[in-house]
Amino acid sequence: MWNSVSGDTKWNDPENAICIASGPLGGTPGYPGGGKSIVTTISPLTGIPIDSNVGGYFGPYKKFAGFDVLELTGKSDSEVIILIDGIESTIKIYEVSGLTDDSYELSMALTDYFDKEKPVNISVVSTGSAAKNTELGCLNFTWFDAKRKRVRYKQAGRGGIGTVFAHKNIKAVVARWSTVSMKTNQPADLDALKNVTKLHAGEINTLDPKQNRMALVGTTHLVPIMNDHDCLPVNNFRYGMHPESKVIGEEVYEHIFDKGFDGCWRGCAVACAHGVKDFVPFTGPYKGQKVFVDGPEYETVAGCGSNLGVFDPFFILEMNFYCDTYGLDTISIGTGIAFVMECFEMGLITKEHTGGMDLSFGNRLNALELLHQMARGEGFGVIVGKGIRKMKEIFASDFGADAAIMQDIGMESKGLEFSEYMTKESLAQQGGYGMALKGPQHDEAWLIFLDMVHNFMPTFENKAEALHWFPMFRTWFGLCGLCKLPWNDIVPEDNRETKEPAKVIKHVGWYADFFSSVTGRKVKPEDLIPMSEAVYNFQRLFNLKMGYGTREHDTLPYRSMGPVTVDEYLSRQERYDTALTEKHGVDISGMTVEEKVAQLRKFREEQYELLKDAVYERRGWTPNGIPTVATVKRLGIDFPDVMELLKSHGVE
Amino acid sequence: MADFTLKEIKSLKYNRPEISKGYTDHSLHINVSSSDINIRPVEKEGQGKIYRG
Repeated sequence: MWNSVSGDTKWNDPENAICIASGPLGGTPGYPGGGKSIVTTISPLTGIPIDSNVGGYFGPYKKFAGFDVLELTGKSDSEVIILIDGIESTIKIYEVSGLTDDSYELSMALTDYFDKEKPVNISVVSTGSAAKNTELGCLNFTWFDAKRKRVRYKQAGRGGIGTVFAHKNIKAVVARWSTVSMKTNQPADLDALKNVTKLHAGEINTLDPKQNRMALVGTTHLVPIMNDHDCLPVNNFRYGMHPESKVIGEEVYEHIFDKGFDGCWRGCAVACAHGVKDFVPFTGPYKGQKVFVDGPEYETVAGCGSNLGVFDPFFILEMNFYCDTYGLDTISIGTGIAFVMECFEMGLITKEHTGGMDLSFGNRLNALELLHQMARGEGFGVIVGKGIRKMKEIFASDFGADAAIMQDIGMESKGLEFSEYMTKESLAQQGGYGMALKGPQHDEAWLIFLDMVHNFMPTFENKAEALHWFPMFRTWFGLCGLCKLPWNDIVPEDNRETKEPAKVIKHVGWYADFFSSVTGRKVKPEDLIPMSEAVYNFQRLFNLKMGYGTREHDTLPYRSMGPVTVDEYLSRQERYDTALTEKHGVDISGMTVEEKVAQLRKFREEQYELLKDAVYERRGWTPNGIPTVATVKRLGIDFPDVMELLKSHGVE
Repeated sequence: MADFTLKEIKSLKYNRPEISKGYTDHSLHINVSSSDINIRPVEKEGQGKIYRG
């Protein structure tokens, strides 16, 4: 991508590239989480590289067909389908006509078309109709579920990659491959690979039933945990818990999910890719028909449920289904509509702007109608589909809404909508969101669990250090073609007694063995972070190349740090009063709530700026958030154009 | 679902790069403006520097 685009390239320029890579370990059957791939492009929402880690069989099949990386550039005059056929060793480009935009039908139709006899040989990447009309498009990556005899999919959801794909007029990319075994990656040491696979898969089989039960409930186990720790977003991240959250948690979905062992790659022991069969939507083009819903996962439950003030598991299923079918990111949809609902309740926008729709919190039918409008490219849904950053501009310029309050409650940073964790009390996760390279997506630095649930990083220094090492591990999983869940979601029973429980060192040791057994390069646990560090810093430099990537771009809306409104303050008054008096030494007697809100804000914003200083220093960056010359030289990425870029920003 | 039609506009037969130790060491580049399909070896120097795996 670096070579394909210039600093002036926009997301919809033909030279913008979509790259898909599955890494050296991707496509290992049986190893937990061993079938992921990473997708990158210049995002329509942020203008900088977005990366999305996705399951499904496409990444491994593409590699087995002969290619570590696929790069798609250009813009076709007519809609095309690309076939990468590793069985026939042929690549074909087709013009297509008459094929639906609907990803749900399209992916089944193309699977059938390209290998009717052995549909398990096919994986399809596609998006949907709403990706053409919004900037929130996702990509669906399929696999064929032999037990249910139907196509399933996982999403490369964040940042509008599906929008770029649709704009290029690519209808689908199809990979075809046949037999997969542990030998397919031609590992350097097959016996060692089998051994470490057996250890990790065996531990998950033993401990998942005792810990998260992801093989039964997927990531919905997080709903009650987040609610109990006041981190479940409710009503646009105003609050962190709700008495009705049980209705949308694991206890309910366990009974709704279709029973089966559901991995998004072959033999994955985590098996968290659940779905619901024979669901009947009550709106839209599938109204009254039985469909299969892939999901929901935690993010969709929280984003399209509690954050909209809706505690109805079937409504969430319908949002999930139509987001996938229309090619929409459920996280940006959830956070974006939550913002709209709060603007509506605050009177910043009215029915006059929404086409007559009441968009108060809890309004299910109109939330769904927004999705259908996005798919049709009409109405207020088109504005919502531009994302929060652009909505704030439109609401201010065209509707006269207060820009300052929207800046506080519009949950985006760098242009990307927040994923679904309420971070007011977790400074570590505030940093995890604000300093994430691509914007506030939890996969780069999912510290909220370690900070709020386990309390593994009680000090300021602990948090700054974690903001150095955690993104490096996450980057490593993306680079290698792996899922992060088996690393630290299911942990050894004695993990808490280890020297650094947050790192789950036993598993890191297994990952080092996994890497060594496949690539033949003998590495130790301490070697993994340096592998990522060069890439991580290079991505920061890529942001800089695109006109971002400095301290000012690592800002957060205040809603993520503390209470914006009096109601929010009062909902946690005891906690906030204690913070002001005991932590900051403020005499609050005689202060109004508004004064306390303002005082707390001053402290919390200062605290976040101090965290930035500490993290930048730990990462080897300047106080302005740019990697120093010494850092790029140490990492071996001191290429001439990198040095020129640094020089142009006064870093020499 | 209505019938759809596919019209082949470009086809490339290739020698499938063998995988060794997790890598094919080849990348596939498709430009949909021109329908160009290019297969390139991955530069070892770049791979070693940027991605030390």
